[in-house]
Amino acid sequence: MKKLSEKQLSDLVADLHKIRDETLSTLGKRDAKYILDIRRLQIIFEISGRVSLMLCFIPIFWVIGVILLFISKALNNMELGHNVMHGQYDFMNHPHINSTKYEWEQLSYSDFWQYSHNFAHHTQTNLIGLDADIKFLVFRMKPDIKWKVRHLFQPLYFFVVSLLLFNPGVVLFDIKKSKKIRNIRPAVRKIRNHILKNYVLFPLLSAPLFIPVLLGNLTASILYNLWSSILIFCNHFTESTKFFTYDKNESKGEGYVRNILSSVNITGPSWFHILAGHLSFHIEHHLFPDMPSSRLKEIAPKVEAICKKYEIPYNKASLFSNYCSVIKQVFKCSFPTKNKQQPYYAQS
Amino acid sequence: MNTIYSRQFRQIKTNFVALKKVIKIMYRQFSYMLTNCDSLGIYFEPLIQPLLPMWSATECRAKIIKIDKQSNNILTLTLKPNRRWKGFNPGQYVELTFEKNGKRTCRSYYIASTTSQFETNSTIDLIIQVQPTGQISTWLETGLREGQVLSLSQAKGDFILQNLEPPTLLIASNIGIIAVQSLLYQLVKNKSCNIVLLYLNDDSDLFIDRLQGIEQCYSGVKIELIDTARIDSFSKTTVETLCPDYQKRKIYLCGPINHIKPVQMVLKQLSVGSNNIHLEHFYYDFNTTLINKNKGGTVYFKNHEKKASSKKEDTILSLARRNGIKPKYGCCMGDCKLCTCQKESGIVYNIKTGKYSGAGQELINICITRPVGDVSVKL
Repeated sequence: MKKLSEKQLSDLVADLHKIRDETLSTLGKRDAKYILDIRRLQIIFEISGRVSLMLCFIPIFWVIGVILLFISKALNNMELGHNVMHGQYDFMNHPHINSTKYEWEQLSYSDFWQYSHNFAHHTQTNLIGLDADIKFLVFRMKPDIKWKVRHLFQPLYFFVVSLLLFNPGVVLFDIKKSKKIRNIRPAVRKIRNHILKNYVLFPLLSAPLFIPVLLGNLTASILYNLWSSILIFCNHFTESTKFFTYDKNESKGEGYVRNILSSVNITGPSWFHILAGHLSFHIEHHLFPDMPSSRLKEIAPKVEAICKKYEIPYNKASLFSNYCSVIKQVFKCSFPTKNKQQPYYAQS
Repeated sequence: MNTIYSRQFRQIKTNFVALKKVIKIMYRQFSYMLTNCDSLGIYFEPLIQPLLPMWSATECRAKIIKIDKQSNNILTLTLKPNRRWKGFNPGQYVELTFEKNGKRTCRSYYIASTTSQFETNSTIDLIIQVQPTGQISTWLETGLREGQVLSLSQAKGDFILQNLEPPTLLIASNIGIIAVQSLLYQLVKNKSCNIVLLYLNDDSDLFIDRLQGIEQCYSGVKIELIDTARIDSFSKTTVETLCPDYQKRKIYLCGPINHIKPVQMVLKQLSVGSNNIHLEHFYYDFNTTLINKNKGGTVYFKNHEKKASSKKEDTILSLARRNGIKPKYGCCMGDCKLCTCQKESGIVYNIKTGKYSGAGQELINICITRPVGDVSVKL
């Protein structure tokens, strides 16, 4: 793409802000009802999942329980946790479902997560050396990143991480990042609680079925781990996204362009979007992190039209093709390839 | 013998209190472990509340028994709070939470009914003046219906009688009469009848019939009406002629700030001791053209018990940091929401959107808000 002129950039900002203001001014009952309904649904899924795992002397209940628990985790962490912690639903002034109070089910402590995600990732998206998500991923997902010998084993540990270690890794990273400025005790307590709850308390409650229940909880965790890692890799690290270097004088418009270029939308049916916490509308989410997830679907066509108007590539693809592209990148970048492509800001 | 028993009893009692505390903490930890919420009630609330609207894990709830439109701009709400609500003293107010279009908004209203009404049928009356420019009060008539359930706070406010005995001078203006008439009822009920009431009122005839009824029944009660249109003419002589023995009286003063300020000045001129005056003022008829976003204000940091006044361009965040408070913050542009905190009361100006907030409880981002007047934040 061509670099946009000053005038075009300011027009782009104005156009995007128009969409934002129009949508934010119409927030109301519908969005409040949506998030409360999701919360209700999540509680029902969680309770029925736990109960059905306890009945797992009939094997089919084990499978149902694992699936229900997985859905509950996906709803709680992606649709509720991630979005509520972004302050998307703060307009409701709800006493419990707001960005200061809500605590999700995931291992990572919400306070630390908000720091590493809302601040370090969202304001510095795909900036090499600054974006928390790139730093955390020990992978070399773009040729822009300096090659090291350990990257040769990248395909191997990519699969280990996306199967098992994605969420625990996020926790360790969050703690490492925040331990200088925050008290880490609540975060450690949260991990302890998670282990106690899933691998001691609930298995003990269904005493003779200790091992199947424990395995069920573990399977649900692994499924969720896999699901979240797939989504997050697909959102930023496909072939079509770009990495950037930090520019001190970046204007607001350039920031928006960077966020559009560094994210990918995933297409799919609406149940998929809900399970993905509307992270599948990732370009819109990165443009307006505090826009309620219930509205992202609605503004996506408008944003796409704007991108077309300014000839900015608007990347969207299905989950499958996105993930294939990610895996291709993982293999390709494990070898010391040279960076042929110039960074965006260097283009004239 | 007796003393030994009482000592043992006290010992047991303190042990019991300590045990209760430990159990409470353990329960909190347990429910946090299971549900990531501070109590199991909070977790189940979204499921239970649609079925039992009067139930809540943390808040008081109240049912609207009656909505009575007395005149064009006066609305009386009769509420029946649930058992969590602990009652009130005359002169106190409650914060009602309305859910208008999915957004919860708080407004404070004085309790107009007597304590005996609450004791007999456990209802309270709130009197609401409909402001033509108000966001909530104009919506109330259409938005509320009888039988609906609302959240409300415990009774709040320090504007209560300190002492029943000495002669009193009550000065009320506008809506402030609701609190003052509650005090008047309480005084009269306790047979303390040396009262002068100065009522600065505009054309609204709120309570006038009721007040005149009291004046006729009790010989010691004297009620004077003063027209607020002539508030400028309220001076030393007004007080001296209407209530010559003001120096001996306890003075209770309640009303909107633009009416109360002149009265306060007059009392200062009359050299009335400030410990003799009990004062309550509120922002009324909130008009954005009247307030200045650059004027700044004072912020009360609740958790640190610190007060600080802001300069011209200060955001609440910069003010807090300058005063040695270390809040969480991130981007300072209002994007990351790390600095979100609860505003307890007061009006703030949002730099990003260019809008003023309401006066009640709400979540604000302190990095992009400036205080306007007195603001209290939970930080």
